[in-house]
Amino acid sequence: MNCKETENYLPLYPDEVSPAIRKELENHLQQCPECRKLAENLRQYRSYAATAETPEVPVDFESRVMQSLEAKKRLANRRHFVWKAGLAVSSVAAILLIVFILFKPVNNPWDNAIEVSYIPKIEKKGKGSAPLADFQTIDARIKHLISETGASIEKSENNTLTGYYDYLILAVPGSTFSQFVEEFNHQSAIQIELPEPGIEKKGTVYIQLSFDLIRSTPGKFDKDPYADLLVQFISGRNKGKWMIYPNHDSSHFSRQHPAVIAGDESNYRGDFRMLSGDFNGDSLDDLCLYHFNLNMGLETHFLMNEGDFRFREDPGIFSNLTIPGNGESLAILSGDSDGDGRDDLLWLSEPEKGVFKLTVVNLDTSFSKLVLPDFERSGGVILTGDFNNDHYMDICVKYLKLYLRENTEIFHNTHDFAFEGPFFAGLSFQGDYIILSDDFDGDGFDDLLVKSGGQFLSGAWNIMRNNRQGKFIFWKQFELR
Amino acid sequence: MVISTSTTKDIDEILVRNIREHGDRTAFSQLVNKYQGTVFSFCYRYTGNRQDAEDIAQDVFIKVFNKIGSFRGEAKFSTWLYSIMVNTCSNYSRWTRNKRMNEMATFPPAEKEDSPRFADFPDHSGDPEQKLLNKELGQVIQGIIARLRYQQRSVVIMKDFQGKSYEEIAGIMKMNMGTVKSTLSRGRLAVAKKMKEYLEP
Repeated sequence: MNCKETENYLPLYPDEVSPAIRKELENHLQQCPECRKLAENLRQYRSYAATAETPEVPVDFESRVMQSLEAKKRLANRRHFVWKAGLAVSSVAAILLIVFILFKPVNNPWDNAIEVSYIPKIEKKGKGSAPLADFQTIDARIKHLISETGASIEKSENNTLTGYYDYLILAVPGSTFSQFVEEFNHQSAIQIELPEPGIEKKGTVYIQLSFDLIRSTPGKFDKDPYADLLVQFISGRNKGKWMIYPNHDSSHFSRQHPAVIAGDESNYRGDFRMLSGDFNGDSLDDLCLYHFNLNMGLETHFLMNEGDFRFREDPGIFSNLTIPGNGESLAILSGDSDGDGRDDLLWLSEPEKGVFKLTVVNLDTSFSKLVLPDFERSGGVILTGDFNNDHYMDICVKYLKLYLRENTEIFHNTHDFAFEGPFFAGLSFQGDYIILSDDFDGDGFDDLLVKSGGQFLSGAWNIMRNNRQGKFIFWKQFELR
Repeated sequence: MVISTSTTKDIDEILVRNIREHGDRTAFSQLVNKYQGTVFSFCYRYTGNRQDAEDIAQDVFIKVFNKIGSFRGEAKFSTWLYSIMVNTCSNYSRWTRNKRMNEMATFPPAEKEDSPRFADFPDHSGDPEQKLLNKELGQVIQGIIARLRYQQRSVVIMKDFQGKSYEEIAGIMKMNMGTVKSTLSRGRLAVAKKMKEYLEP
């Protein structure tokens, strides 16, 4: 028995392997110190697991579940009541509405309603690397805000896509309102403006917090050589809207333009990811939307760019393409792997432990195995881009080695379905960020865009310009509104 | 004389029927009381974080209550409940994963070293030195488990920590027994290999 076979049987040793296998295993273990170490770790692990104490359930867990159930029931009843009442007295309601408009009741709590978009304040810590802000920080801030000011959550809409809120309606007692405003303005990058500053509010003040979360992809969506940004809002007041931020003069993205998706754009609001690529070779980048289906692997949808920021569905491109495999180790990328001017689709999978393999879809050709050490447990990022301006797609990998600066590597496409490298690209970022690649300055060499603060629309967008020698140097920072 | 005894299955069936037909909160409270230990400890092992475990476990029971009308009684109630538990935990993972939705890779990030995720377990064993070693080993193992792949993580926790049978796990995970066994084997191997990285200088 060799080491590989030993690894297969060892996790089930000793009680779940046949006596013959057990004997062979034991023989191998006597000779191989490495496998002996592994066997010892397995033994330690299983002995720990078998004797580990069960974590104690919080004392009031049961009562909290029941309370939460009651709260949900009350909310449902309220909705039910409103619906029934609304149906029964709709005509009366119309009359009341007119009365309401003409003679505004004095104690209507919504007189005090304030609507704001919550943008977390991102504090820059230290020099150089990007500021840290993540969902947990923001969640903690909101909880702190609520507990400190006596506010309560009146209503919330949970965005299952991100596990985060679309919006929250907070009820703040008038007596603690000024404290709330102070806390909020301290913690949020946008300020609540009081209609009448300094005046103590009576009754309850309602505040609706919206969260502008987005998914985004860069691409050459218009005819100039500068890469633009496409954004879809996945929560907040603009939920479902698609926007393009065109870049006409290298990296000014301020003027937004709505993108039109022909057909039913509500089809594309689910749990999918998107990437861009020029799949039909018309020099305009198209969109590929994909999501992971437990039974089928990755499913893709294509939206072809018709110019003027309009996209139409095209089932003809890679029609009904599903990519088999386990979603946990699958990544999908686009890029022109063979230099024919049309972007191909590639997927990354892990056929063997620690070996990530790239496969090109529309050519049915595989790259030679690209070994990416430490990628698997790194929370790392893999990107495609033409980093050396040879019109062939290269690969950029960013590992999350927390304390190393040189953790970005480039692999060059050898034009022969293999990669050479890695070449160090000198770039270090930590925290919750998005990293994207495209040619933002129009020089033919793909640059990197690093956005801090994760998926929030706000947060700094940093362009790291390719210095044409495969190193990325901080160039510009901008904000999208 | 025939003595009639109610099996666990019977009691669950009675409680479920009372919840479905009469919205019986007391019956639901009894179910929560009975299963909270298993659900909470699974969520704790799965996330490595007490706060998250509490939130998710609570979510599991709310879902159970809301979906109880769709429980057909084809499988055991506990199997159905544990399936919801596993799904809710994997959605939690998707939650953390989707934080990096625009990134191409989908692996959970490594924890910072000072992360509070590796919380202490109560430990009442005797020898202080051994106690410390156990505690350290426990923290390392818990950290590794919370980063295993989702299916491996679920299977490893249910089999190795909760002592469930292959058959039961197959029902919960909707896998065949062979797949459960191979997932378990890969999960254990991954743990042992990672232990090597952590424990060797």
